[in-house]
Amino acid sequence: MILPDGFTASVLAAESIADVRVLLNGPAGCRNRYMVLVRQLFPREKPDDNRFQIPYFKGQSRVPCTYIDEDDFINGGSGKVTDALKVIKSVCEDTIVIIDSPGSALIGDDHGKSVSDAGMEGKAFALGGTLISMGFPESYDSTLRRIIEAVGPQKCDTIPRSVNIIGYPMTDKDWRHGLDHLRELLEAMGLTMTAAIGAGASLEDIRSSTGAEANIIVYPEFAEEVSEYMERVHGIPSVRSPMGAPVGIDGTVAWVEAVAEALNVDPSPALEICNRARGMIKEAILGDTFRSKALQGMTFCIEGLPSMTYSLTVWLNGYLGMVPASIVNHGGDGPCSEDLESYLESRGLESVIGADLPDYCDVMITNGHDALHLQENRRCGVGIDLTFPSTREIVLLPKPAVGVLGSMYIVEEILNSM
Amino acid sequence: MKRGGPFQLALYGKGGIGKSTMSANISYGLATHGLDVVQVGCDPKHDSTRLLLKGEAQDTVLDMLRARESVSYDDIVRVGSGGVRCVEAGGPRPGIGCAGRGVLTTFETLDDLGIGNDADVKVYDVLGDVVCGGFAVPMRERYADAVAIVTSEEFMSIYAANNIMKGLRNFDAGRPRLMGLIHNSRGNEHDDLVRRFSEATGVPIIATVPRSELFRDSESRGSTLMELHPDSEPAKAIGAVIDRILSTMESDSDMMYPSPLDDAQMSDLVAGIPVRTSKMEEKLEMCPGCLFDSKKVVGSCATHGAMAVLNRIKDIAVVVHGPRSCGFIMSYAQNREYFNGRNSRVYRTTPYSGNVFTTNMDDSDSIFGGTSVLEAKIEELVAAGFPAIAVVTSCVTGIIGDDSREVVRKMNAKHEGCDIMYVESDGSITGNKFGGYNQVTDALMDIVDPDVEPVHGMVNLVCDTFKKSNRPDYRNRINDLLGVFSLKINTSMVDVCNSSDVRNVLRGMFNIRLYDNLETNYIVDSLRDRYGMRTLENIFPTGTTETLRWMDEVAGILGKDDVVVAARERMVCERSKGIEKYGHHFKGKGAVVCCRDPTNLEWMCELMDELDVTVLEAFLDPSLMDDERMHHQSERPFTLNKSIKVIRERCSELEPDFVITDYRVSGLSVPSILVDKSKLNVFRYGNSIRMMWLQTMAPASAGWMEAVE
Repeated sequence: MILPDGFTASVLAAESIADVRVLLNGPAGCRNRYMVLVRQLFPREKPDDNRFQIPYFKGQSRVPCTYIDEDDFINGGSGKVTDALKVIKSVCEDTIVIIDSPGSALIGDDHGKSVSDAGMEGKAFALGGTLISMGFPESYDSTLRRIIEAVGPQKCDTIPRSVNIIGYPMTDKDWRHGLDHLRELLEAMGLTMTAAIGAGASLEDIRSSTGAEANIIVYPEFAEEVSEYMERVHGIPSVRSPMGAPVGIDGTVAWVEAVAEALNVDPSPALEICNRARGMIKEAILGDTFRSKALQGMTFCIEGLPSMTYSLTVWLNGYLGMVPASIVNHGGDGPCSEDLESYLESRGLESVIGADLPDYCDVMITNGHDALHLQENRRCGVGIDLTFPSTREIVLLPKPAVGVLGSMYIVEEILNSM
Repeated sequence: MKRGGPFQLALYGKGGIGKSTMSANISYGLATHGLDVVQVGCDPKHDSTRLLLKGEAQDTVLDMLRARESVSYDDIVRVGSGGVRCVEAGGPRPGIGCAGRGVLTTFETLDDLGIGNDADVKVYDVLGDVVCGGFAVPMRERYADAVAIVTSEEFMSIYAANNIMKGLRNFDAGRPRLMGLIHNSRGNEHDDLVRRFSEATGVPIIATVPRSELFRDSESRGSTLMELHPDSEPAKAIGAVIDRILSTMESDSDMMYPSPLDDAQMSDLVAGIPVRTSKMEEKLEMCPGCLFDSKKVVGSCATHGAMAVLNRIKDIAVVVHGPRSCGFIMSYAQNREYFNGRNSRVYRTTPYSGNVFTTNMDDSDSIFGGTSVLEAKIEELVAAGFPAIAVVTSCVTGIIGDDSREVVRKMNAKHEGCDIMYVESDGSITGNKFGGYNQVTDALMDIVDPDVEPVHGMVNLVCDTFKKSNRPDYRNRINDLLGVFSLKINTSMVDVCNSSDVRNVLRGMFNIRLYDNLETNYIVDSLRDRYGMRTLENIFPTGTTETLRWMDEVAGILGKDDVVVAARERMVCERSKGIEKYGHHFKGKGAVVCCRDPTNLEWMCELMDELDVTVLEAFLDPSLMDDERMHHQSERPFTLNKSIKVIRERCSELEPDFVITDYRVSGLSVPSILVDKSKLNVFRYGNSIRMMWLQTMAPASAGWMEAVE
């Protein structure tokens, strides 16, 4: 499917902050779909909240919109932006981030003046920039950095053994369970989580985040600007796993060890959680003769960020004995691309990087939509829904992409497809 | 005047009036006073800094951004005469892309790189008139501490100067910022138009720069006059401008708010008569009156509507000509319907968006135009073997005015074996999703094969979306009724199909509309107007009377009256059996009927009659009613009403046993039966009313609701 660019990322990143609301300066067509998307990813108000039966909301609380039309494209829509800001201010206290749709970005309205005219200085600001030219992770990260910069948190006293999670977007599969799980791993090592920036943290959380001892990166591609800013301005170092993201058991173990080493804490309790999962996986494989024999040599394809494709490839290939047929990195020069290349080169498999999908492979790990579609079209034995967008809109049982829970989800999908 | 950053001066004026020459001379002159100056040319023709660079053109910001993923300070800044740092924004070729967006992008880049933040003065040389928001960026408070307008004594130049004042007033920064006029004379210094304009507006002439061959001499040598002829008369006049800038940098007490002339005053000015006093203060011109208007809000844009219909034609490649996010969010919505529909009661009418593509327009394409990326995408899809391609335009292409139609024409001529359609939906500019449906209909008419002959027993179904009509229960109704006449479906226009189905639509003997709405009617009208194709007058029926009327019409065409007699007997029999078995659940009760679709009112009331239910009141929500459908209103009495609150109140007063409705009415104190046309099958009458009765048996409250409370 067509994957999103930096404009989508920017809307989602801003809406990932619990008390930030995006004012979309654009037409209704854009608003309706983003409204549905953010409501699924991060529900807030009850759908029937009557406060929002007012202009610019039209009964829906998420992503209020200026509803610009043909006249506004010609005459400018500043009046609507100003008015919308005043209306939003009347129903909620949230900080407003004004984002232009790709079309309205061409009008060139002066949002700074609208903010000033609405008396919203300090409570609203515009995200300009060439969003449609940016990649998804880059823009998500950049948007968060700009919001943090605009909020301008003061440096708090450092609280030992407190950390922030950064580089973990709410577009990650089942992110809320994933965040709980990462917190569980951190707490097992005696660490407390102050804020998950970009995954539900409020502005107050972000203000408090300056007292953290370190920022723990989940997906490095989503954390470049925020980590640089937090280090430069607040002196908070970032911790990055050498294997990239904590996806797959090996990646999770590496992540835990990197955190423990940087914070000088004992990783054993968190590693015990990983080992237990590893044991369960081994038991599941060994408990079925057919599956244990068939698993060795099964083919897999992955599409995703380099920090994910690298850690998954190492685990699927090295631990489960499967063989990669195609690895497609979104953002070819990501931090883990070179590591992945070296790993595959050492096994004579470097040609699979960027290779076309084969007519059929056993396991396809990609976004939920393509995974299911390829499976339905018998292009793979099982399509594993691991990246955005997912097809699972209602999630009660935890099945995130990250950590040991993610690893068990992947193995469960593979074994049940055989 | 105390300031944190550099003093920023924007020079505006009509194109060709000599702004760039003036800017370069002013920048050089300021530099000779020991100031660190940055000059930014904001004209797509990018010749602002040439005289500071020995006549050489420099790489523009936009060219560099187009060529590289990121740019650095050294890529876009050149140091010219007097140490003036030079930047050129650049822009697209005339008539292509969006130059205003180019100015916006340039300023964002300069901000990101912090260019000129350490300078004493920044001079912006801006294209002629304030034609759009992009060209007004240098007027914004954060960029312009002062604005000077360059004008000659020609009327069009004065006219432009007046417009610039209007633009500046729209950016009222809470402090005066207009410095004055710089009269760049064309050699007719005695013409007093500039003086009169100055008097009428109250804006002073800072200096009159006389026409001089020395300018030409300097330009031919690639330098400024201030550098080569510092003691000349023109240099002295420019020196006066520089003195004024220097004094303004110290104190802005001489600055003023603009007072542009209205149209009548401008007429007086040109006529040479005393300029009258303005009767009415013109308001801000950023369209403050264009505030939220719910009547103008469209639910979904035309591009999405067009894409949704085209996506149902499985072998067509749909190209959303716009940014990737535009393609993403539309294909996401399609896929969501597809996946959600897999296990729901709705049949899959929305295919996976596997054949939807986008031209991935980025900022550079917005500025320079996106026709080349469109051409490349079409070539790619032709090579991939698609028999047909549909190009659907977005807001971005609509605004920048890409000539996509010409690209499609060219590609069609080049690739004869592939039908390339053009759907100019332009996002929300041309309307809502229904407009998009109709635009697709227009495009599809072009691929219909006019030589195909009708085949006996084949008919077309026509509907705008086919969503409801693809439910199993609706399909059963279609099959049952077509089965009466042994008719088979040729093309469902436009349900999931191949382009060959559309090409062969004329194989159908006639069209059957499933619903009566503007979009469905547009399809059948187009087939009639272009190909003389016939359509049944009656829409696909629901309920006894409609069914009989519809069957009579079909029988009249096919000459099968005997078939109708048998079907009528079967209907009566089924109804009797159904009422005998389940009718007691309804008999003697009272109901309120609520409709949004006026074509439902008759059969719903008729059903109540057949079940011996008294209709206490019938409500019709007029929001879906238009002139085209008014004729479907029943002769039964009804109350026009849009308010659910009114329905709730009336239900409290009338105390019906249930409400039967074709839309969800929340907060009722009595059971409700939600129906649509699929719910009543006259050949399966008993089953239909049984399922309706079961709806009345739903508990009024559920445990989870209490848990939430």
